[in-house]
Amino acid sequence: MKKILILLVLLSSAVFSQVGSASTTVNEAEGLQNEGKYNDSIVKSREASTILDSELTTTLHELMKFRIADAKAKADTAMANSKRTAVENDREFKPQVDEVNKLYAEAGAFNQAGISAGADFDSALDNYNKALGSYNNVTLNINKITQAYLNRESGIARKMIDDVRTMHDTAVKNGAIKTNDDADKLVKSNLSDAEGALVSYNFALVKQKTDAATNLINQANKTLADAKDSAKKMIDEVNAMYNASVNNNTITKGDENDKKVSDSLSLANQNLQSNNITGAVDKANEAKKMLEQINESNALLMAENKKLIEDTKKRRDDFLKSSILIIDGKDDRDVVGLITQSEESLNQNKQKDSKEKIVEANNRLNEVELRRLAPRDGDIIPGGVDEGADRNLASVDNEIKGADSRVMILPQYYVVVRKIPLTDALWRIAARGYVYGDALEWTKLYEANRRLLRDPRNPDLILPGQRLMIPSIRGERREGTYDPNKEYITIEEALNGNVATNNTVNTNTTNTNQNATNQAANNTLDNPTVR
Amino acid sequence: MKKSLFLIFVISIFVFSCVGIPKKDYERVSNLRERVNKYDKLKDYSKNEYDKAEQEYALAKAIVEDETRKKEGKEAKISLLSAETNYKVVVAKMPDYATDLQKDTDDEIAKADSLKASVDFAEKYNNARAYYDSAKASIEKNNYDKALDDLLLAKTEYSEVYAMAKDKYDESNTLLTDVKNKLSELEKMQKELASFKGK
Repeated sequence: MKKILILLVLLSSAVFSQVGSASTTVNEAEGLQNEGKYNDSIVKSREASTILDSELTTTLHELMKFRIADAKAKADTAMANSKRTAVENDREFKPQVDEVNKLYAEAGAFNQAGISAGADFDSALDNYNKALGSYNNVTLNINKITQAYLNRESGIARKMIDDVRTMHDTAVKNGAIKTNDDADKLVKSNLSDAEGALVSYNFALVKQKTDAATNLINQANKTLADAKDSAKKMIDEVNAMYNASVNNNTITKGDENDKKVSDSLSLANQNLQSNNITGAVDKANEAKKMLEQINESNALLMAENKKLIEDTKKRRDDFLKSSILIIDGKDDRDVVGLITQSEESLNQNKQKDSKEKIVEANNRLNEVELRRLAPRDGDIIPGGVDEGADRNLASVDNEIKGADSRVMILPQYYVVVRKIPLTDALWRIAARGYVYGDALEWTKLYEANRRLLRDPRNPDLILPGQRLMIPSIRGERREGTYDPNKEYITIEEALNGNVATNNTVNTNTTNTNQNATNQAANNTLDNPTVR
Repeated sequence: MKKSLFLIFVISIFVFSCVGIPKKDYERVSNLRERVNKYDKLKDYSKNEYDKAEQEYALAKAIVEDETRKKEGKEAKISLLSAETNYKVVVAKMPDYATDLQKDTDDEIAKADSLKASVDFAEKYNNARAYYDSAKASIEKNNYDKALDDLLLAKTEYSEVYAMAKDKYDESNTLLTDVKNKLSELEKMQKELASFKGK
């Protein structure tokens, strides 16, 4: 390295000494001219010119080596940059790139010609300048071509990204993609990467990322479409269930159950239309559950009515056997007629009507029994609790009693007893004044005490000694166990404010306010309230 | 001066009213004419008189050279005398002409000196100087013919030496400018080369 430096210095000195010599000679020539010694001045000038011509040629070659190397390097860089794009294989730009390549080759040829010109300064200079010009034009032109290509490709990539953004926005609007869910985050991440790739002109990556985002969106759209189809199918199924329930009279058009189910189905459809699939499925499930409950309740009622009809028929048979009822007599005909009507209603799935008729039939039988039987109802076989509560006034104890000595607080529990002929049954118990005063409210007793029953599916199978809970259904206060030796006020009397009422709602009741009172009053067997 | 000449003319008319072709006059006036015409610009100093003189001379010449007009000697003489008078008026302008010519020559000297023509063209320059000095001496002696001759020669010589010096100067200056440009160009190139090498 040191030797090279010394050599360079020596060469420079030699060069500069030549130049110094020429400069001196020029100065001498000028001095001679100023003195009027033109001939001598001419000689000196010619001398200097000879030196300078030689030096100029040498320096020209050396300088042009650097200039051209510099220009060539710039041209090479520009061409390398263009090769990083796909411009040279692009159909639109290939002819222009070919021209640039020709220009590059020409530049090389001119350079070579300049070198070969040797001592011919003018020829060398001319060729070198052409070489320089050609290399500069290569740089200029290839940069222009590359930029034009990048501008075109950027435009295409920009449109790709914008189109995917639009697709994404539509998918979010339609609910196929939810803001900030996994798909949304992935799509946004891909679009962000695509934007970054666009800035650095990496068009392959732009395509890759936009394709990935597109696939995600298409997937989300398909998932939505599938979910929508599935939800629609479900809604259609529930609709079919509903229509079947209406057709078979399980649901009556216009009643509260119909309204509730119809509202849920309507909301399900609305949600489906607005692509709220979860909402649609929820409402469809809600309607379905309601229908199932209605159908289940209806089935229970139907079973109950069937049993009641069977029991009533048997009771009639018993009455006929024991001559309490005279066959084909008026009473018998009435009872048979009512039983028949009850059966017809049962067959038409009109459970309320069926229940009404069979209760009426039983009430007729009760009347007959009361008229004909000397021993009164209430005889208790050994082992049962002697009720006698209806007519027997118990002695006054510490319980709250009214002016007429009836117990003012309704009982919360009742112990089942066996009676003949009308033994305890849930519906008979419910009909009593101190319970609900309404046989149709037997289901409340059933629901409250289901787990106690030997067969929780069979409400008829209550056993003597079982302690049944009487849930408060209309806000009435209840305490203690029913004492057959005492007389109680009725539920109506309790609710009319004669006594303190209990505002605590039993867990098996639907509500504790007036709505519950109205609901219980409106509750009929063929239109059980769906809880 | 003019009055004297006029008097001579009138007397001459009387004296020579009866002569033949005035050959001597003709010769004399011709010489005078030649003297006047020798200096191209002299006539400009008395243009009217010169024209008149030429006119008269021409008349006289026509008579003199025409054998058939021998009898018009008197007219010829008159014309000749008139011409002579007028030519003499012109000749009298020689000092003025010499003054102007000297001024012109001085200008030429200045030009030649501006180019230092005396250096490379010493001989010719010195010749011109000699003519000039001779002319000045002649003027002092009122020898205007010689003065004019010398001044004309001096002016020509100075003009030529200036032209020669100019040519040489131009040649020298062109070459000098060229080498200066080359030097400047070389220095620029070497500066650029040094900057490349310094990178």
